[in-house]
Amino acid sequence: MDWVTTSTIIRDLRDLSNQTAWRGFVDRFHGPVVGFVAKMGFSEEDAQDVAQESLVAFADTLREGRYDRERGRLRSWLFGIAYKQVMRQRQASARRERLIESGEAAERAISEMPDEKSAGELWNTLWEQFLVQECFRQVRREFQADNVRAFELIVREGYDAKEAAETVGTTTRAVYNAKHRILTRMRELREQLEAME
Amino acid sequence: MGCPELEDLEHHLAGDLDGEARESLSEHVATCPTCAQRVEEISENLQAIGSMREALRAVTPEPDPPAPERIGSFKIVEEIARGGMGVVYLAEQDRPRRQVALKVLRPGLTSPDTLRRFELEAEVLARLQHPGIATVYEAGVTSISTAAATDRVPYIAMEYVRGARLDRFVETHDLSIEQRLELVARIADAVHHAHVKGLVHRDLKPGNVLIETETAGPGRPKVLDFGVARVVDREGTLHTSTGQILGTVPYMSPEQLAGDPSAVDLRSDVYALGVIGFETLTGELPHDVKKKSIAEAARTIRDDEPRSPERLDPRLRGDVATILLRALEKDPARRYASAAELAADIRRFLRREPIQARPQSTGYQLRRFAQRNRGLAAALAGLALVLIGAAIVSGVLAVRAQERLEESRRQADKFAAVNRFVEEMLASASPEKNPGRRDVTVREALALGAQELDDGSLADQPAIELGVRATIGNTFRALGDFDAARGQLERAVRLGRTLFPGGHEDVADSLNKLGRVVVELGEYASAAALFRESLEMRERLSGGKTAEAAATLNNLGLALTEMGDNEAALEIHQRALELRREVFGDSHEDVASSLNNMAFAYYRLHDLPRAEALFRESFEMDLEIRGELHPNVAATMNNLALVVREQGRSDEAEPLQRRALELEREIYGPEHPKLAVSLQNLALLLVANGELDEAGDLFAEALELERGARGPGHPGVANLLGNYARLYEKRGEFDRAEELHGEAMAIRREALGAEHVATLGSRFNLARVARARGDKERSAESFAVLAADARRILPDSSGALLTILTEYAMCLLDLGRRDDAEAILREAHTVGTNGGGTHPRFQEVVDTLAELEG
Repeated sequence: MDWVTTSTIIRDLRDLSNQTAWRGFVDRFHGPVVGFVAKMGFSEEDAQDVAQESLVAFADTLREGRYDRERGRLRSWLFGIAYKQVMRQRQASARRERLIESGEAAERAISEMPDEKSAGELWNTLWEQFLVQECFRQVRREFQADNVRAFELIVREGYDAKEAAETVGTTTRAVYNAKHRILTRMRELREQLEAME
Repeated sequence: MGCPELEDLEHHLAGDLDGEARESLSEHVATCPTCAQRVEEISENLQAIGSMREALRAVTPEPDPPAPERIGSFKIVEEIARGGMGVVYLAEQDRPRRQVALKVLRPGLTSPDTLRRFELEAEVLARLQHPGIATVYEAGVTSISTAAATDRVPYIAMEYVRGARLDRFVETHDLSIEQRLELVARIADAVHHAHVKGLVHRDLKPGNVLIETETAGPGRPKVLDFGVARVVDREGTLHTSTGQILGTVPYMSPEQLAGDPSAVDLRSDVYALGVIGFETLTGELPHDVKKKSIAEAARTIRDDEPRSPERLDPRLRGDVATILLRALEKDPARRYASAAELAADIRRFLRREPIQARPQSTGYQLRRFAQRNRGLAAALAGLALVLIGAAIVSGVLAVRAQERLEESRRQADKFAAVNRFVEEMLASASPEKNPGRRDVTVREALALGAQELDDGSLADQPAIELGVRATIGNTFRALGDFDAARGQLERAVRLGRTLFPGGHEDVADSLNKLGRVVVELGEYASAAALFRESLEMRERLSGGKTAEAAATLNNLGLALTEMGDNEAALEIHQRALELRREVFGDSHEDVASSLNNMAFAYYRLHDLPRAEALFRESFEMDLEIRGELHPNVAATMNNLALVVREQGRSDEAEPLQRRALELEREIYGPEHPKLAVSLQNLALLLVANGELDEAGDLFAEALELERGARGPGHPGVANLLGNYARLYEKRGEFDRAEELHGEAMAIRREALGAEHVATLGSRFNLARVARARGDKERSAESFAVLAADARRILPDSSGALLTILTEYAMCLLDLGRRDDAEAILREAHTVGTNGGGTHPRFQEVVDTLAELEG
């Protein structure tokens, strides 16, 4: 599978009939949005719906030319849309169920919703995880398994180069090389993921 | 010295080298631009490690499973495509020896139910034997082993077609109209074959039609992916369904877009063939939706007539256009009844025989026009009402008779002029005046009207233009096209400001209309500013004592509520209420609505006695006006009961809650899921009143409805279980209470995740029950772990955190651990202070601390 930059996906997305772009778009951004919505208090099923609406709304603003490049990066743009959808859904269900709440004070206090600031922090954390995960996924495709393993041992598990070299069965020099080549590539991929156009 | 290794450079950067090694490396880096750059890169890499480590630890990326070497009797050659649903490989079959396209479904889609359906589908697919359909050689289920597990996955092995997508093929081959038509007829033949075998494709589009490039002539089409869409739709995975819907909109029939699966049959495929035919012949889609939003595209396809093929290519005039438009009829009953009929008509044309499809009669087109223009007629009626309202308002003003007369005359002139323009706009859209067009939709008529205004048709009568733009804008809003509405209304407001620098009722009206559109777009603060400007203008002009001003006040109040500014919302609703009473008298639907809105604001501000009084007044008024059997009345009764109960008057709330439930049973029927809420509310009330047996029955009934309506794993079920458990707590049946809280926790953990606040809530309940039953050590242990998680997950101003800490501290006090309890209470105090000190349990914290210290 080729790595497609976000800029390319976003550019191609303007054409409604371009399915490849749609698939790429949904595959890439569905996960973090669902994760976010679910953490905002929606069930998995409802989160899927809200995320779907967020992605469609995102694509619509893009196609209608309402995306203002000056307004910020993809991350904050998507957050704005996802958060708005969450609030809309929450208000809609609040309206639907009127004032009715079940449970007593303690139970209710526990089911509070994060405010926009906390939601933004949550989003940033999840987004950070998503970026790293995506880049790492691509790195696994591009690099040899031994190199990826060495990288993982050092970066994820906190091994030093010697331990990693022993575990993988290679030299420390090879481990350093793998570590830096992959780190550089990860940073590069990350930039492409966040770039819009 | 040669360039050092990355290893050495990193050691150098970390200051690990000493003596000679360090000096020689420093010297080298200072003179070697490549190494200088590497050092910089290494430094950036090392800085990035920290955040990467955190993120990598938080998520364990699912590795893309490597392509298996074999699947069943197929040797995998390479991956051709990958999507949300699965992977397609190019593979070699052993016997007979041939290349196949092997589609393997994602392991996640392999529930026993899916596998059964898939096998059934595969059987049908295997029966399709047609030169225009990629042959399915084999389908079944096989095991794929990975390091982690062995999965049973369904696969389909089908003919591997070396060809180009239909649209690309047409683009790159110089085909005559006849050749293109023949291609479409062949695709229709293939689709018909599947229909006869009982299979509807439902996802026909150029991407699903390959044209074999190794054949001569117009090319041999092969239709792919029969039946797959159906399997996937049932599975309902978002990846695929979103991608599919988004990518397929231009080819979807109006009935598919209406979202009614039962309305979709083989005629939906006929529609898709019409779109494919249109595109193959003209190079364009019948509806220009490529650059539109999904919602707009769907509306366009459902409401607007397709473009005329002959306009795009005059050679298509006559029979070809008639055939295409017949396939594209919105009403399935008016389309070709089958793909075979479509193919037959195409071939009649190719043989120069008369075709069977006929163009629609003028009478039919006129009827369609009138049907579609109901919206515009309603908008016109609305306009008349607004203007008549304005005339009455001006009559109320204390102005001299002469002025009044002149004003009425101006209003009448303006109304006539606006009306004339809109009528002309309609007339220009009718088929008689426009023989080239089939007919025009309301939206198109509006757009045409707007275009005429842009072209300056009313440039000499700006006051009329203002009125027309406001009407067009408002009608766009009624049609749900908020962006178009905003455009027109903003123009109207700009025009009004230039024309009437001192303000004018029409400008105030446009500002209010614009505000409503902006609310729809979710920009509440901007909307509030527009409403305020409108109100100020109305006050300046006429004292602001009108129904319109009251409506604008109400709109402002609603916008403020959305913004969460409850104090301001309350004040505004109060003003709206007073004004409405002045205008409509004491009993009116709008007055009831204002009372309700005010009550809501009080409820949000925790002023329950006031909320109660107003809910009661609103409820009684609604009851008087609408009668008891109205959903609003039952809902307001429910609200009232809730507010009464929350003030501790359970006895009084009970009859209200009972009556609300009775009414809802009567309105919705005995098994409607809506009843679950009222059942639960009544049950909670009865628990508070000690009527535990009846409460138990109600919980059980609510639970059954809720499970039936939302499924047993829905968080709503968990809420109910949690409340049900409280009943057993009250009875002292702690085993059962723990069991129910445990069940609620399992649902929440599964549906919402372990770190969700509601899941913490269930853990809190379990710890609380352990304390209540005297199992204090266990309770304290549970609270300790819960508090640690809550500190990590919740913000440091969270009410939930405060509650957990407070309860934990109380548990520690039970155990006589005063110092530990005090430390936790101090922490709770900080959390409560961060949260503004308004939390109901904050005072308890303050009091207990004082007691401990005292």
